[in-house]
Amino acid sequence: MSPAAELAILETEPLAAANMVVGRRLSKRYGRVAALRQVDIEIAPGERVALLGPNGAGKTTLLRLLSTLARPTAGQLLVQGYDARRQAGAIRGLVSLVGHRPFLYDELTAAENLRFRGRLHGVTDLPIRVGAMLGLVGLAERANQPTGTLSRGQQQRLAIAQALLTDPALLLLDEPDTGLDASGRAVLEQLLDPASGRTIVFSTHDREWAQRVASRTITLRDGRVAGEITTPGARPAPAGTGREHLPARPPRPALVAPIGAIVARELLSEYRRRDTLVSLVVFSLLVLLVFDFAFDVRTADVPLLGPGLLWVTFIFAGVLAFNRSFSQEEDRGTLTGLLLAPVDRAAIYLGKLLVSSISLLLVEAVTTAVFAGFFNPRVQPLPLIGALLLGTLGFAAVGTLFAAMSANTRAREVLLPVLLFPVSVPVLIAAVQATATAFGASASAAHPWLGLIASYDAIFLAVSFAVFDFVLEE
Amino acid sequence: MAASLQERTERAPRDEGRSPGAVMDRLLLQPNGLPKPPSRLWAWITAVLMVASLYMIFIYAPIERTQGIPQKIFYFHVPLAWDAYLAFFFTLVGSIAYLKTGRARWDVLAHSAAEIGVVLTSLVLITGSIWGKTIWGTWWTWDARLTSTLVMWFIYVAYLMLRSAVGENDRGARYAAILGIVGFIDVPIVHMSVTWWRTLHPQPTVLNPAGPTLPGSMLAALMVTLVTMTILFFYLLRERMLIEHLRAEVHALTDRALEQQLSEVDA
Repeated sequence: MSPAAELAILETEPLAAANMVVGRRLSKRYGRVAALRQVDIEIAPGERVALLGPNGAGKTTLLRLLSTLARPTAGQLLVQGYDARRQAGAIRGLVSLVGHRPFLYDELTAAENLRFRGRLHGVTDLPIRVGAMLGLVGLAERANQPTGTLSRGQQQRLAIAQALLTDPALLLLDEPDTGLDASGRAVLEQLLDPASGRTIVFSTHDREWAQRVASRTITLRDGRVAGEITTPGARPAPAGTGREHLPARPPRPALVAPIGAIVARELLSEYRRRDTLVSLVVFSLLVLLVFDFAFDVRTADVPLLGPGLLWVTFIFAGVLAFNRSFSQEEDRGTLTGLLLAPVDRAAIYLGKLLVSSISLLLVEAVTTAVFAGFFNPRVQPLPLIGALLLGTLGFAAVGTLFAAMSANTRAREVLLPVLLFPVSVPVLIAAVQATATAFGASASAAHPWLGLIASYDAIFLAVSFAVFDFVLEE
Repeated sequence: MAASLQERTERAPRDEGRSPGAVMDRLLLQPNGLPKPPSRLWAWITAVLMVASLYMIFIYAPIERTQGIPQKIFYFHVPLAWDAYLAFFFTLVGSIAYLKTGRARWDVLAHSAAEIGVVLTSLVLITGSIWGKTIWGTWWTWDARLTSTLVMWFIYVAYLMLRSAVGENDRGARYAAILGIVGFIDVPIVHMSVTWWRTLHPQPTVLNPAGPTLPGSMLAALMVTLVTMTILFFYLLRERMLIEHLRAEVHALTDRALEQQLSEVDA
């Protein structure tokens, strides 16, 4: 059967929405590797399903599909009636995932990590819930301790608290028992208690434990369902969980509030670590120094050379800043946390764009001031400020988009400038020209060049906004 | 052998619909979904046209008064440039369609066109350089059109680098599609900003608002070479896309073979 015909049949047979999870012929390929092959799965509300199977059997892939981190290559998946392809945003509001790596920011305290997650999800009564969750997992005393200083098991507990904070209808746990001590396991078992009425899907290698706590076990092998056992001793799920009634339309993912949360989190992280801004400023000053040695710049040359020197310095610093904004999240696994939040993907883009622009502007302010101190040029402030603001925005608009793309590729340090420099040539030309008028090097007015940068900014903000969704999707 | 290969792959039959994608597929695939063999007919047509173009360029068209023989490179340079833009336009179309539909055939179009476009742009830069050396006395000058063509070349070289850095998968195709769109939008802006900045290149001689300034016989020669080069472009594009479809076929076959081995081990 052709894929089109297959799709047509699926479309005419609406899947039962009463179940928490309904998956039909789910397949997921990563490039040429088939991770899941035509898996059918139905999970009723209140079930506690354990996924068993050897490494590489597809357990994690299935959990990633359920959490909308990955899209099915083929087949249909409904989570509480929402389609995983078209209404992923609505599903993200209902689901929590505890992954292999806890997506926590090391430099933030336990409570701050939870507050950030709560703000992304729009959780109400946040301070009370944060306290309650920390108490639940036994971390109340560690609330104000930086997460990086917690032990592996404590971090796992915090990850569980983070997942429960949003009161998910469907809780997904990927090998949650790794790294937990006996008391941590007790917390976990309490979580898996059927009385909570929560639907839970978890993967584990501990078959005995799974059979004790789960109401059903599904064994996967080579991406296929190899066996299913309804645990005889397990208590049945309580009938009716009160979540069957869906709102007529899925809620719109939030845009403005998450931008604030993301920017605030980045600024707090920077305040704690104090590594990005300081190193960027030092780096920029060093570039100026190198240029001075290379060109033997005198005050008389400044109107001619100055604008170019400054902007070359800024684009070098910019590449480092943009690269950092995504590669850090990627390396620490925290990008997954952002992707799981029910926020408009554009919020992630705009938040990152704002933070990169702010830090780059600060670097530019310091560098320009030092440059002026060294060479005493006569400067008209307005064209200079206009060029810095508009130029930085346009440069960051494209840089943030490309940084998100290059963050999880090989050789990203090289790839980012290779992508960014040619595309940002118009900004560079116009910014240098506008800066040159500020330095009195050219008799022409600054505003045509500023107009050129502004239109470039508008075009590329609009395009990046439109395509950014495709960058973060898996 | 062909039959047994066919039995072992689950291949969707060719899309027989009327959508642009289906029409494109019919040019490339057999009814059973296998890629068609390379076209000898088009190879011959291209070859004959090339001979005709050489005749038009070197025998029919008069020798230009001021530049002399070196001006002949114009008949290669200009069609190459037009077809390079055409190639990148196809990359844009393929990229947008790929992001909209997620169908691999559009990615194949975008990727193949970009690769040919980079080759054509390289030739534009090389022929331009040779021409510049004889007429302007320099291999390169930072004139507006030269500069923006060089930037365009860099954008699409980055496109190919991005593809190889991400790898052959859905993500690589998506990232490439984004650059295929962003890059194409950028090319006119680059051109505008550089032109505004400085210019030295001769003004357009064919698409001039005041009408063509080229003498009739030279224009005829240019038109013939333009048609030839465009047909060559489409021939190359089709061949390149066939290679990509064949590659997918080989991947599918190896995957099937691996799976069979796996299931035999299981049994």
